[in-house]
Amino acid sequence: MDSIKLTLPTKPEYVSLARLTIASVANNMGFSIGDVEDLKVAVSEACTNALNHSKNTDTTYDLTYVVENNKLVFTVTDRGIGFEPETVAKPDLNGQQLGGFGLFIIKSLMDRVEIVSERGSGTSITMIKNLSTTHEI
Amino acid sequence: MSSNSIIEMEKTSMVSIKGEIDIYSIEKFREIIEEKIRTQAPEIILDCSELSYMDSTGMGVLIELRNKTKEMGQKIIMINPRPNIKKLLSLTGVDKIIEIVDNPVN
Repeated sequence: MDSIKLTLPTKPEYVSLARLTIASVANNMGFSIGDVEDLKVAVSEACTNALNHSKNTDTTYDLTYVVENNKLVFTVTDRGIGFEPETVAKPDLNGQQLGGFGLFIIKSLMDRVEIVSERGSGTSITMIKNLSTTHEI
Repeated sequence: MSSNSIIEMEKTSMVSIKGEIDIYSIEKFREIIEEKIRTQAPEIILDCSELSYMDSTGMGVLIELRNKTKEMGQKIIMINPRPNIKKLLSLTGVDKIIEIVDNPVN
């Protein structure tokens, strides 16, 4: 079981680095092209949430990739204000509610998602993608 | 340029979107489309053939500007989005409110 840790500055220009690294790790593991694209989106959405919603006063946030036998487990952790996941409203295309898309997309694309958030101390979102999934884009 | 082609150009305003749209490039993406909206062309065509990546940040702006153009009687059309982007458009339902065209005849 290999573990890769990355600390990124809380700046939008470095989110692409999260995509590049997860694509590299996932390619090495043998994920399909479609799954690699899904993983890039999921990590990017989690980083975007960390930058947009966490009101993180810290200058960095953390990414961890854990390469397991048949799955990739990755976590994005910020030290922001935290939130209550159940209060995130479902996105509404025709209304004013345009938030919540990131989390919705992550949950749709990944096999398992766990969110640990504490008011005042930050949010940690762990996403799991199984290597054996057969669905394709 | 013949008058016919001028009329044609006034009817549609086309722009090619290239590269990646994420939290970093989103404001540029918004500016490009808003500039096209200002031409008052009834159809704003986004050629996405060379767009390699887009996430919810891009979807959010697309929805917001689609709602704005709808009020002004304009329409946004996406041409040739790649499979990874099409998948997200479908997942979020954006493909129901924005016209997507694959391999247009002209």
